[in-house]
Amino acid sequence: MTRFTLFKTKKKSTFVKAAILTFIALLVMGILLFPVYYAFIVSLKPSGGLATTEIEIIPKEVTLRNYKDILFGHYEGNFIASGGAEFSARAATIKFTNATIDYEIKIENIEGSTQTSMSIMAYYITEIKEEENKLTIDAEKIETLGLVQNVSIHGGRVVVKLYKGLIEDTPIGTQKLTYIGNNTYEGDEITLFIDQRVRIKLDEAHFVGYNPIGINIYKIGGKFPNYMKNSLILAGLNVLFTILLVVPAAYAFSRVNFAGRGHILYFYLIFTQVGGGLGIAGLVALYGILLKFGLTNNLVALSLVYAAGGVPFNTWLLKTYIDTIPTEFDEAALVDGATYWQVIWRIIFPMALPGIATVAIFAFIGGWTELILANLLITNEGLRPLAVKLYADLAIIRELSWTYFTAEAILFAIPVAVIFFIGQKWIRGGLTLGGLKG
Amino acid sequence: MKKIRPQVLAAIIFIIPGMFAFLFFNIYPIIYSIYISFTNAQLGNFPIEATKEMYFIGLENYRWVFSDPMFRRAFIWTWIFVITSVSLKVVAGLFLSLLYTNRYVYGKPLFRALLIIPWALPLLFSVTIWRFMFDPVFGPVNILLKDFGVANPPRWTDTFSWGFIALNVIEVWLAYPFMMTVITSALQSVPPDLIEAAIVDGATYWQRLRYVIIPIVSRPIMFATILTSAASFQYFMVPFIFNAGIFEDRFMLLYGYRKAFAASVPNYGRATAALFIATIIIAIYMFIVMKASKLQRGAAE
Repeated sequence: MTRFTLFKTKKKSTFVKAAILTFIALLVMGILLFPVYYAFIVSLKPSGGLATTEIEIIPKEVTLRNYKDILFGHYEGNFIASGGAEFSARAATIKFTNATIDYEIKIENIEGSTQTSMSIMAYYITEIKEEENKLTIDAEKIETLGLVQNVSIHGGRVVVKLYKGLIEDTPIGTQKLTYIGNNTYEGDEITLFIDQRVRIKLDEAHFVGYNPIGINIYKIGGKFPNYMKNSLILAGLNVLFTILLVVPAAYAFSRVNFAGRGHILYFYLIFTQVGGGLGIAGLVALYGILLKFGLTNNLVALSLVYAAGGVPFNTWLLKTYIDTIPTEFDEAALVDGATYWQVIWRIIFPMALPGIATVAIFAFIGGWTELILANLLITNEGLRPLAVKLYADLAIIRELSWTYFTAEAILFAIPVAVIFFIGQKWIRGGLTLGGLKG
Repeated sequence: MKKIRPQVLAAIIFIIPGMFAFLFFNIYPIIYSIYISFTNAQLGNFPIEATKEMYFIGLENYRWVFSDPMFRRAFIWTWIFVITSVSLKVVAGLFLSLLYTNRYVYGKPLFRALLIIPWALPLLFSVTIWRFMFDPVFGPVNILLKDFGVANPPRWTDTFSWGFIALNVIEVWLAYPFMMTVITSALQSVPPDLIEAAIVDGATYWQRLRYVIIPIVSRPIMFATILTSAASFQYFMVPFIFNAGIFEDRFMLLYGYRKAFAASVPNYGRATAALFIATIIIAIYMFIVMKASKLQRGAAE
């Protein structure tokens, strides 16, 4: 009996312990991975939707707008409809304020027109058509720039919010409106003429402006693919140069015994160990040399610099890999009269593929993410890679928004993370072979 | 003899392109940098002599750097950072390894697989998202602090003292996958019989940890500590991305970089002198560390 109880309490305490510790493990992991998760969540929020007072663990509103803007961009523009305008919109907000009255009218399914000149700003333009004396714009949001007068309006449901003054002084008056408390009036099917100078904001608008002048339509964002292209060029060329510089050399180091071989290998190994600090030490001179030779703003030269910097580490890595391939294969081929190039590309290349893949992955990630040299040497905006763009945007984050920035950062990180996880096996194998893992 | 000759020739042809690229883009700049550090290289005479003449000035730059209070501060704070960040990294690594090898924790493989995610992320990405975490207005850290009633939460991103704390947090976060992987594999090598025996003898968890587990895993921990301290010593990228301005007189490499590329009047001579001094200090440290780690390896066998 006593034994039984003892057993039971032990089991119970084990269960409690397991529950508590697993919960702690979960909590700690949540805290550690929170930054990555939160950056992802924020990138899905509408711009300006980032609260300063609360952390939204689960987003209330999800949009791919930031990503769309970064990848494709959108159009914005302004012009003056000097000959009046006609418009329709899903909803409109009309604001007026002066010393005696201050109100805000919200109207659904609005149609309107004016004969007077109207200056507008359109955001997220979806369609634009220019004809003689006429400009038609479909946009997500259209705002009046400055004020507009003498507008006739017909619309559906209306809500009037009165901040100051009397309802009689608004263009609607009391006709058709019911008071619902809190200085708010409601109505339906309203037709009115506004002779006050008001500010109008239209949502999902179709806008026709007559005699347009000062048309100014421009693209916002969408420059990202170009930065991406530059990063891809850098990463791709780095892979190419690395393979060209490293594969034959690794083969030679592995197979041929010549005077000075050990010294060169030792020299490479030492550099692999202290390379980081030395790299920055040589930065000033490298900058000077490349500037003198006119090699700044040159992606090919930059990727060659990257590949050159990786020669010691990659040669070592690949040499140790080729060492594991039995020499019989290439020796037999050489006896049969194959040239060294044939041996390298027909025999060593396919057999050392996992090792070469590791080197290629490191080269690709290195070229994609390198910041210091690219930031220094690529000053031409059109040639800048993603990493530099991201770094530059971080400096002006107050003018950007974190929602936009995190989306950029994620687009920058995704290729690296994907390649890392795909190549994980090879990377691990390569690292173990390189003797770099404890 | 005749058979070897073409083989060696081919080997040399295969090695030369990589070797040449490496010598030209890495070794030559380092030697050239040393030369620059003995000249008056600055805006106007470097890289192209335009308005001024570039000439040899001996050890003047070195004298200047050693007497600059900013460099001295950078030297001291580099050491302070090594001490604080390495201690935190070891403590965090040990804590996480113990937690995620604990036999009462369920789903350990999944936890460990997810926890190394930061490893797969590029450094630039990680630091920028941490910069967001510490944003004074929109950052979750300060939002949380405000929730706990802190009226004026710290300005992490533009003051040094708070920024230094942020930098330590970031460094721990960046290094924990490595520390955890090394320490976890060490912990898993502790023979279970030994722990069972200690349990039978009535040892508490802390006693087991203190007298059985820690002595066994202390060598791999030392090894990881040495490697990670070398990384802390060469700290450059993280303060550079986070906010280079507030850390330029706190990290030696950053100090040199900023002297050349972020000063209103770039003085390349002084910058290279500072970078060269920093490199020598790091090289000495690395040399000692490599000797020590080899001793560790030798002793472990």
